[in-house]
Amino acid sequence: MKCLVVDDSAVMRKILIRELGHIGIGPESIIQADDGKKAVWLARAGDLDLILMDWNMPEMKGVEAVAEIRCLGIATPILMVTSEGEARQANKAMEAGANDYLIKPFSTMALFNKVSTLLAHVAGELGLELICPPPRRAYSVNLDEGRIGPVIEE
Amino acid sequence: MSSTDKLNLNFQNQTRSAIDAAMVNAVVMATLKVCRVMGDVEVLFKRLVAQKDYSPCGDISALIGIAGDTGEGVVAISLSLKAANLLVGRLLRVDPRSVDSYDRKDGVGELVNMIAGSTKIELARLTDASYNLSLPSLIVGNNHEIISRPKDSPYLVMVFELEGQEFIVQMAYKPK
Repeated sequence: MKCLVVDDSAVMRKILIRELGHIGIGPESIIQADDGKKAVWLARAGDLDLILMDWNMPEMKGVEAVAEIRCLGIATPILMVTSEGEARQANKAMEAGANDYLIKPFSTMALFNKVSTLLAHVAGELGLELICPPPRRAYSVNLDEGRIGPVIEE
Repeated sequence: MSSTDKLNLNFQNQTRSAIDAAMVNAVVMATLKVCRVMGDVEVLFKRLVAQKDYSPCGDISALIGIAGDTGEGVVAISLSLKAANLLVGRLLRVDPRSVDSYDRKDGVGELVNMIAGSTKIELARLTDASYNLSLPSLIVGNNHEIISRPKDSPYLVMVFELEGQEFIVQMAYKPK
């Protein structure tokens, strides 16, 4: 399994990598790019099983990268993961060659449903499963005293 | 706070205040949703104030432009360093004290990106028009004030609280 996560935000890439871990795709299976051009370059190798693609990035927009990847004849499933949530934009991404669309903010379950559908043909051999994220916790944080208080399970 | 789903406004006939009310709803709901879904944390919406009645309090801000055929606007978030560390720490599920400057700036930019994106969806629904988002811009400095906005469209300032730390999300929108 090899997954490419494309987002100009390093924080969002970390979130996506964590969430992919919750559905059975570990960090050892993930490579990253922070713009569309790098994504196209990494996709050229043709050995990717899945691409998660942001829309708004400074060098090349995600939708342009998707179109270029498809022009290269690369059929890797592409999931757009973006804040651009209008229907016309989802349609534009699908016309460019994206396979599905996930709007930020997204839940682990929503990501799992999208990814498992896109990888349905190989999901069994990849062993994809929803590994439940840790339970919600309430932290008592006191920054002035520089400590985090007792962790309370909800 | 009532859900924006309960509003049924006709953009062509509504007053400016109705647009503002709908946008406040949209921004508040978007902010609560982003923090709950991505940060696994409940923040408290405290109050709405006019920009002229609010003293700047931010150490770090991120703003994003929304532009479309029927109007333009700005959505901005401003936080103290403590509040920024708390929220970005929640996004990353790490101790807020371990959030470094790079992740703090990047995370605040991503927060406003998601809030503006959710707001834009509601704006598009209300005005039956399409909008585009700019890339986020960041401002860092003690007690700065955000001035950039559409002409004659003062910011509506929404005050939130997380773990005793206030932060604000502002929205200015001007129909064409």
